Amino acid sequence: MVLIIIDALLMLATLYLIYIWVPPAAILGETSRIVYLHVPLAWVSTLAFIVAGLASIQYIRKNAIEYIHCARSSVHIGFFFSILTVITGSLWAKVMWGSYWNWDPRETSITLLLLVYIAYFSLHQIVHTNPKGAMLESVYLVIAFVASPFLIFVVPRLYPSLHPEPVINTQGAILLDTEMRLVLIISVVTFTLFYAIVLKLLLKVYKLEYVCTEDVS
Amino acid sequence: MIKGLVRNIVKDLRIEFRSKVVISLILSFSVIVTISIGFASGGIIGSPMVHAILLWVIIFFSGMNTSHLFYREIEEHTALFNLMYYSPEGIFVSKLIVNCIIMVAVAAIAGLLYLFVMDVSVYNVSGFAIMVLAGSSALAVCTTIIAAITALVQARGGLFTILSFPITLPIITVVIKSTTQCFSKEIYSSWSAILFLLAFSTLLGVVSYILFPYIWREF
Amino acid sequence: MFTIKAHNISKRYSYRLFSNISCSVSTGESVAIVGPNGSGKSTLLKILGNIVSPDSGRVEYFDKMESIPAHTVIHYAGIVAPYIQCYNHLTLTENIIFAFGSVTDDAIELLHRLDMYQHKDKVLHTYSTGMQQRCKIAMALLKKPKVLLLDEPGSNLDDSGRKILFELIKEIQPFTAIIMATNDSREAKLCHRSIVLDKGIGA
Repeated sequence: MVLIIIDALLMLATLYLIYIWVPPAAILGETSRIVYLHVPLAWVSTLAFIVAGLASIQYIRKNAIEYIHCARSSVHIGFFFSILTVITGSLWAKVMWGSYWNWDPRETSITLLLLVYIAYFSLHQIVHTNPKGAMLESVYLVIAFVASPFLIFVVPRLYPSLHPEPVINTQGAILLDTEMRLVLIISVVTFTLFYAIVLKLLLKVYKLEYVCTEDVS
Repeated sequence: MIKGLVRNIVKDLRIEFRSKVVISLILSFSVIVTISIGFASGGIIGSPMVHAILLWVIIFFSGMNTSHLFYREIEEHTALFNLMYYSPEGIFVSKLIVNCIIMVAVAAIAGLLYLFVMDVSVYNVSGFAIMVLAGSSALAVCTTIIAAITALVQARGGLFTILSFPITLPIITVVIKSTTQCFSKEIYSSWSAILFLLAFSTLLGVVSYILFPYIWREF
Repeated sequence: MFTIKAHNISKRYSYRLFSNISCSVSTGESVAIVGPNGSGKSTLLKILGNIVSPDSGRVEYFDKMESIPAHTVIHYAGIVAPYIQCYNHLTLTENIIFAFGSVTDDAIELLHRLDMYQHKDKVLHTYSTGMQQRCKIAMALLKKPKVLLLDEPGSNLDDSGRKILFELIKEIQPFTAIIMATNDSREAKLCHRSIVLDKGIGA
């Protein structure tokens, strides 16, 4: 409960900092404020995926139900955040580059993450009643976890991208100003905490569902 | 272990040649799609990149029928029979090798047919041959465990494609780029592409080898 | 000496099958699992053979007094069951060569006893269900297993096939641990003792 209150306050503070306190970037202007939402959303999407992958590895090793609940919860959250990342990115792309979608490598890499999530949900729909379903989902997530860095982290750095490296500052140099860096870090922390809270809540829901199913049988 | 591998490979190839399910599915698909594209385009496409994309789309979707290798074991209740004599790791490696053999054969046939039907000029023949071999093998290695997962849930249809596509996207991206260079007059070096395919498929192959026994045990 | 020890195993699907079953089988002993349809005989057999995991409890396996990992048990086991088939697109000879590398004199002798020698070069999907059952028995026994898991082994067999099966089981009994799930009282009588499953309770 305390964490929820802290995060709610942090969220309000973040919104204030983003929309009122931090100055607009040079050249990019007021549109740059979406970066303080877009980057943390992308970060949480990736974090959720990593957590799901690690939880799946633990489930395969230890066969404890908590780990598969963690993986499933994380995938649900990650999917939601990926969609938001694509939406915020597309809005900014329309303003900055003239179209919602440009096949930029980083746009494509978040789409790959979305594809993995969608594929996972397809598998989950089919196997969730299967006694081996949890193991199959875990194995698939681990395979995706191993394969995805090649496209999420490697390819965007091999090809030229429209995405700015930290470029938002008053001089136009490739650095973030102190204020902007501070707001970005606060925003990342706020969203990460939000992810942790939602994950914890979802784990409780899964645990209750599991206990109720056991009692009924 | 080697004897077990050889016996499993011989068994799978023998069964495939007798039943002809996988071979006929894959070959029919690739032939029909290639000819359909030829009809629809009138043989006129022009751009090397479009040719490369179409060729690899045909090879990729033809390869999506190889899940039958595992599906047959589940349907015909031979999975436990196989496990009585051989370890899951040995079974996985043998299926992987058979999958590679079938994929390479299909890619070679689909490739030749595509070049003939679409009248595509190949400026770097050796590079193209290497890329078809390397790309189809890499696809086979990366999709073998996905085929096992799909077979275990007995989900025919699109699930194998849905699960495979995100995993194989790095391979498809690289082979399309390399094949485009083979079809155009660009200076071409296949080494970086081959190294990438080797690294990626080795990594996924090793991880699949470790994970396969966890799923291939209760039936 | 090969031993299987089960401690308080329970299993449930959409309803509770059985709970808190404990038993032990060693080389030279044979156990029949009997009970009405749907009581979980095949499931208990699968759990003892580590083909399926129990919901609770544990099963331990020992070979020559040393504990062995559960996932290796299937390599020690010969299994005759409806959910295990030989490769139908291969001949019996090819199935034997696949499993054992070659057709030995023991194999030839066993095929003669099971009256299958003259059919050995026919593809299995041309066999009747009784002949396929004889193939499964041959493949399981040729393995010289340390534990023999039989699930309704006499099903689809005619009287002569059943007679040969009973003889083979008696011959192999001193050298193997045998667990048999069956509805047939004649098969159950071959075993030294029984586990009776009824309404989720084993006795």
